[in-house]
Amino acid sequence: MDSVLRAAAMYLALMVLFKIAGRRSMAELTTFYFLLLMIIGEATQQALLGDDFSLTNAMLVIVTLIAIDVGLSLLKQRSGWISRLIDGEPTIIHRREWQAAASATAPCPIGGSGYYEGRPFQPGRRNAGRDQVRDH
Amino acid sequence: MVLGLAGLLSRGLFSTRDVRSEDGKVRVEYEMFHRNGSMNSMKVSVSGTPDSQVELELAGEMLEGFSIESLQPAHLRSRSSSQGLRLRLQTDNQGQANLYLTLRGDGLGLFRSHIATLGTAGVKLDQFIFP
Repeated sequence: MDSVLRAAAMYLALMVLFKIAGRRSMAELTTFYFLLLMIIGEATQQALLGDDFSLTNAMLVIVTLIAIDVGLSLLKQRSGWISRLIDGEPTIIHRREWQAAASATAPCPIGGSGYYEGRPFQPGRRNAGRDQVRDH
Repeated sequence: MVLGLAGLLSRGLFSTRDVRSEDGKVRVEYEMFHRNGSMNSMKVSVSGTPDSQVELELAGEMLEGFSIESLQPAHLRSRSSSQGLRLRLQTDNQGQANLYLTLRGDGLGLFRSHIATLGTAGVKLDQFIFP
């Protein structure tokens, strides 16, 4: 029982810590940050397994971590709020004001159908201004 | 994961046992399920005559499947027997003696043991060690 609780606690603690620390891509990884990640991994391993290096314990911890991960993915699919809480939101780094005049001529910048800038659009129609968005 | 939480893979609701002998003189609290290489505690309580000595016998397959990492309080005397190990303990002024053991599972599979004081039926233990 304690192994499952330890794995769950460690998963949540690391998720919160890395949420606070911020995301960064592998390309931005410095040598020091890479070293820091390795130290964190080592400390995590000690906390997860303790002095129990049995096959059963290792499998139990792995299954618990995967189960929590899959469970959170399912929750994210069902709830936009949880998805935003865990994954965050894209940060708009540049926005051009929507112009009524452009709506008749500018092509829809993103595919699909639905609402863009509060107005309905359809693929192929020239009906919206351009916004550039990028994941942070 | 559910099995682990329930204690079927060591430490939990289904693993923790508290057994007493028919005459009520020996009580053992132990874990039924262990994992190879991991340590679990066991508490043996014995009732006897106040301020006297009582001899406790750990018998059966326990010592084949487990290593005793610690044994507290220190026993007055110990000797081997044909069944296993005999420990002489000092009882308090209420005739109670407690023995705390830390066991490390070294074997694999089912181990049947027997803990008793001399002249009593004692209790039977079944312990399973996962790989």
